[in-house]
Amino acid sequence: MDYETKATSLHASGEIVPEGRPWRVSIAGTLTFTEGSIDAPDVELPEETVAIADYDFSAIPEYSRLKYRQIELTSRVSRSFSRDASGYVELGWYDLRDDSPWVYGDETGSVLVTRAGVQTSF
Amino acid sequence: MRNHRGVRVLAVVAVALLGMSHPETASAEDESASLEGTVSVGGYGASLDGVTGRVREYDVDREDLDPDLKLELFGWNETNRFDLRTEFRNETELDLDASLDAGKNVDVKFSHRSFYHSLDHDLLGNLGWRERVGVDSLGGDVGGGKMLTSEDTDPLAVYGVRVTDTKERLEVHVPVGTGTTFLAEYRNLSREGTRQVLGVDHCANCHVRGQTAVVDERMQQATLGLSTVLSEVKVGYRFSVRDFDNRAEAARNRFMQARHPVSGASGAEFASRLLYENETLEVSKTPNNLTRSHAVEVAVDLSGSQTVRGSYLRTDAENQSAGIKMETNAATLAWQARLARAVRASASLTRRELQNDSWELDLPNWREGRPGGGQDFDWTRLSAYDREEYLGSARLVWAARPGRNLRLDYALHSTDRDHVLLDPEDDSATRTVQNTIRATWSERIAKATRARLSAEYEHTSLPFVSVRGICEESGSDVFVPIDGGQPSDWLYYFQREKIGTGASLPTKAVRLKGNLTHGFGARASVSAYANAAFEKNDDLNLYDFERSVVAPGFSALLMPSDEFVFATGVAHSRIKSNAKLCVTVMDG
Repeated sequence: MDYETKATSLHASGEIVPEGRPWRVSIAGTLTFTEGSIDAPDVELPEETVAIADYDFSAIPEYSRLKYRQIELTSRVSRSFSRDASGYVELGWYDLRDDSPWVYGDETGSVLVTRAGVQTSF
Repeated sequence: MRNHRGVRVLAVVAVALLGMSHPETASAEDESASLEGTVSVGGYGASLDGVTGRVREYDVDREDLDPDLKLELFGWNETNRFDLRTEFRNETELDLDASLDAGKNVDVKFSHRSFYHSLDHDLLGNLGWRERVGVDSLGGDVGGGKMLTSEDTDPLAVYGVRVTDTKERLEVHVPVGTGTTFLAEYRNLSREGTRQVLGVDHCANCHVRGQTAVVDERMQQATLGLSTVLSEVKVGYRFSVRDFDNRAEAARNRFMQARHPVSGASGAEFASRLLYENETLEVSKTPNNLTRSHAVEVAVDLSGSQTVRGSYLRTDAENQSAGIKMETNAATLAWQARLARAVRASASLTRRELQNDSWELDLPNWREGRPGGGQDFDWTRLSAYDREEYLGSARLVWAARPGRNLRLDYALHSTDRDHVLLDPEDDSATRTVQNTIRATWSERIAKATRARLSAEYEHTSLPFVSVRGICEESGSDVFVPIDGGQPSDWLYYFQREKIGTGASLPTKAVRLKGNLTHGFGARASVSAYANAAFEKNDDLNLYDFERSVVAPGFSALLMPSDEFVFATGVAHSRIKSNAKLCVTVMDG
């Protein structure tokens, strides 16, 4: 019986700080694919005569399969109002697609997060 | 429901707070003291769609407005300095780090983390199967008596725990003599919430029931230490006590009355084979534990840039729920030296001994009062922890020239277990010996190019295995019916014989790592790496265990101008392993 897991993750991020401007913009993203499953086992059955052993294991690969696609995108914009004061707005989008909802049910879901505020230094 | 209202409120709050900010009023500075800091005041809102426990496993997101507060402070005067950093989002999530250096002799550190951890909820939907014994006249399957069923008693439950971790540390350098330091540490770690527990009925997996259990655990740890320097000798002592307290009431599972899986009949024959039935009992209970340890360490600086260090550790751990105690004694001798200008060497050897109390299992006689029954299966559980271990290591580092470094490592791990059989052919084989050698080479192979390669080979003699723990055989060659009566076509479980030895640990392993980094001036660089491992255990009787890992990756950094920076990368991993699957057969 073979068990295999695979994970592939791609990420990219960038930040712009325009010279002489009060703005600063950053963005980052991650895309991740993960999966795991058990191959159909080659099962050796006991050499019994006391019971019929008529088992079918062909569904194990499908029922044991876990497969997710996940996206994380975050962005932040900040603006300086003076040497010591600035404001910021952040957006974050987190999305999960469950392609094999066998064990824990369908865990597909997404969250959009918003942050905003001001910052002062002294 | 989407949180559009929350986002609008956030924007209004942000603008209002900005108008209220008066940074001048926060300044505090004179010539002999300073206070600097940053205050961030904002709001946090979220919009949720679908199930969010997996995508945001360690965050609390809700369609409401929460504060987003940060404070960083750094202050100093002529004799003291302190810093404080805290981040607060809601009643569940708080980060706080603080430190104070009071004069030259007192250092205080404090940290607090609290967060939420979503836990899995197995719906048990796939946990079911049934033996097929034939086909009926309409072509449908005819089910047999071997089956697995399951139920989730709380299918809408959302499980998770709030984790709170607080640490304090006080270090006092005694201003008398030289190098005497007093240390006190305290840690409080708690987990509160709910989790899923499983109760398993009757034979090994006949009926599995999932239900909700309360989590209310607290771990407290305190450490006191004293160290001093006497000429070339440094001596230290440390005492530590750790108390794990499970304050939650254990979940209880109703173990059903034993019945025939097909006919539903119940009777003395079924009941006589069970330890309990028709009874509600605690399941999945985490025991309370108390651990005390004493550590003594002596380090001596010898001439020629050599240091010898010796330590002794005694640990007493008690499972307070069961009254089982385990004692650990460990002694370590270590040496390190600079053998030449470019050559450093180190070696260490540790002897560790663990002794754990045994446990008497008092079971009702099997099939008591039934024909051929009454077998007494009481037994004494001798701990697999009981062992004597030797851990050795040696390292040689040669810095051949600037930018070139060669490191050779050797590690020995010998484990002699008192009660665990490791070789089905030899009842005296209880010692596992693992030898590992590794060579690591790193070099600047060009002006802007660095490379690092590492190769490791590990050989393990008699790794931990489950000797004759898998795959049943009928035992018909040696089958002797029980005195007192045994139906000719019945074969009880204890009369079966397991013949397979299973393992998930290798006897041979090769592990490779490589890394290459190249810079294109000061504005761009690329890096690539590849890790691989190939592990095998071909000493098993029914199959060869194999495990392979391949994990390459690439990253790049680009800064085309002073105003823009860009980074990207990709990482991949593939892990493949195998195991032996044998079907268990219900007795009778």
